[in-house]
Amino acid sequence: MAQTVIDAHNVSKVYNPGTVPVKALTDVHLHVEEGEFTALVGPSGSGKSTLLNIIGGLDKPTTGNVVVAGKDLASLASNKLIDFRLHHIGFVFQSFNLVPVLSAKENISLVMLMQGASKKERNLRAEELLFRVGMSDKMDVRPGELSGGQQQRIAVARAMASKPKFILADEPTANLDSKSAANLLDMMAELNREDKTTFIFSTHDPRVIEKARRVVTLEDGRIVGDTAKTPLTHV
Amino acid sequence: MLVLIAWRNIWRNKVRSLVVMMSIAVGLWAGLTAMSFSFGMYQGHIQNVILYQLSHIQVHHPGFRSEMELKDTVRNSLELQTAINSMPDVKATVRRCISPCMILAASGSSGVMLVGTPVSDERKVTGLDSMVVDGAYFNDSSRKEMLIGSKLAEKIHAKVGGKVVVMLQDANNEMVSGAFRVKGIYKTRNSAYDESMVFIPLNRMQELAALGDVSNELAVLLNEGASLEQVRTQISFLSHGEEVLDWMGLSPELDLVVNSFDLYMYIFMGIILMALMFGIVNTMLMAVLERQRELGMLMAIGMNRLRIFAMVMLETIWLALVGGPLGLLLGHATIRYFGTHGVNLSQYSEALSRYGFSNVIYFQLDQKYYWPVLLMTIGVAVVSAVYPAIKAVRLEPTQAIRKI
Ligand SMILES: Nc1ncnc2c1ncn2[C@@H]1O[C@H](COP(=O)(O)OP(=O)(O)OP(=O)(O)O)[C@@H](O)[C@H]1O
Ligand SMILES: [Mg+2]
Repeated sequence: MAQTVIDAHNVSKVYNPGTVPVKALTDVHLHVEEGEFTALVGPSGSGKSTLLNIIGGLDKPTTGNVVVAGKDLASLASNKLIDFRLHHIGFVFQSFNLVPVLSAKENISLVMLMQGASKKERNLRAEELLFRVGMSDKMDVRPGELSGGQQQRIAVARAMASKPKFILADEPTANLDSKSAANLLDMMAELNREDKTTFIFSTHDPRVIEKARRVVTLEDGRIVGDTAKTPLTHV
Repeated sequence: MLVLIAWRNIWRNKVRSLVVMMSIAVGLWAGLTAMSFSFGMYQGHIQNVILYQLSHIQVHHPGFRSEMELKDTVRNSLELQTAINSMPDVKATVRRCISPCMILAASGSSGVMLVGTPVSDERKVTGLDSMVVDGAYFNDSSRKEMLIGSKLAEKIHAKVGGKVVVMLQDANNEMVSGAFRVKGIYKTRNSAYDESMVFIPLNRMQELAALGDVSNELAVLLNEGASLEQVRTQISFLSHGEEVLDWMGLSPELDLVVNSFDLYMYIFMGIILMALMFGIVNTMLMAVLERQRELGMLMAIGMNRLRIFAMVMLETIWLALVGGPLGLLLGHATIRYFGTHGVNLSQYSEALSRYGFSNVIYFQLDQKYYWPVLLMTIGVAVVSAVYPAIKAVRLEPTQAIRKI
């Protein structure tokens, strides 16, 4: 049986509770297992980013609780939470994923360095990951010299570097043209198939949604749909 | 890797970083140059005073300097002088008789110090002959001739060849007076000195004041590089209870500046660095605000606050580590150059000479200050980085990333 990596219960989020309250999430339940390739969809303002931030330990729910890799996030103090993210969660953002002054390889190594990996280990894994995302030839190039699609590939490699339980990607293709977006998704799907890397990504793009094997639909902060194309996870 | 990121971050905004580095460099350069100038000026002043007035060491009867009475003579001064002259570090010595007196010319009078001095010894010790600007130096000590300073000459309207009369108390406390012809007018770099010291040959003074071959003062000029303290101790030992003082003891105010120079130096550099601090804080704040998204992203992927803090710190330290040594280097080069070539301030020398400073200033600064100044610079950088670093650490990843 696949391992549960995310268990969100009764999660609600209200922004600005004091002044102008915005109910971004209401009573959300989400259960994600290892190896899933899940898309979070919904119109703008439906709460996709909010949910991903809460699952990723970047933001706290107003009520409800989130258990990630067996750990209740609410029990972690802020410094511990940073460390928890470092070791268990990978992130890919829409943009500004990479440190502009570091080369592709250095960006990937940075996470492992913070985890305390040896230089040899870092080099080996960074090179392997660059190969996996098809960026071996851009190893020593800085992000500024890469296309948006290439940058996102490096970002995915970086997210994988720490061997996280799952990778959260908030609109990873929003800044890409449709061809690059499709390529990125294909690559992610491949990593998912080969390594059982768990991906949860939000998107607007129907062609991206197509590639997902589970689609969770949000509307006004509520989950209104959750469809799976079997098999949901690899066995 | 943090060190590397910090270093590369500097060059993201080259102009801004260069401006900060340059301002640190120029600040340090200006500070060092200004300090070396004033230190050089004081050192030059001290050298002048030693070479042309005080000499390195003087021997007196213990009560002489306070009472200024002719009867307080140096015991066995002739034998003592011979003994001192035979010491290898000693360049020249001179025995003098000194007494306050009243000097009267045709149309003016003044209270001055009358110095009786052997004409050839004085030449060797203070080079008084080389400072004669009008008339001539003594050539015959048997004549009743006098050298007066240019300032005094102006004041009492005395001219070369003119007659002046001095009145003083002799060794027996009798008022005596004597007439002298002005043989020459001298001018040193210290106009206060020129106004108050008049010279006559030693034997004429002894004769006038009914003294034997005694003296009130024995001035000792040392060779370059001689150990002042060692020679002073030896002379003390030879002179049986006479007061033996080096120039610092004779004129403590000269040494004061040198002794408190450390303090001046650090205060002055501190003030400059404080001013630079605002520039550094501003630059680093801008850098942090500009990179909010990146910093938020780093915190999101697991860079802890300590590392974020360190990264901002290191970046600031890098700025100081480039600017600081550059400033020291520029300062060092400037000091070296003007330390050998000097700066000629003859346009301003009227004012300077009133205080006994020379026209040409040789910059001088002990290199022992370089390290502390560099450390101070880094210290200021660290202090400047605290606020921007706290700003960076306080960022919330979600807020920071949102700002697109
Ligand atoms: N920091 C915040 N303060 C106040 N309101 C917020 C904040 N963040 C999000 N919201 C609000 O919460 C709701 C959900 O926002 P969220 O960003 O999660 O939506 P989203 O589905 O990611 O939208 P998009 O597709 O535009 O990215 C929106 O109404 C938004 O305006
Ligand atoms: Mg969003």
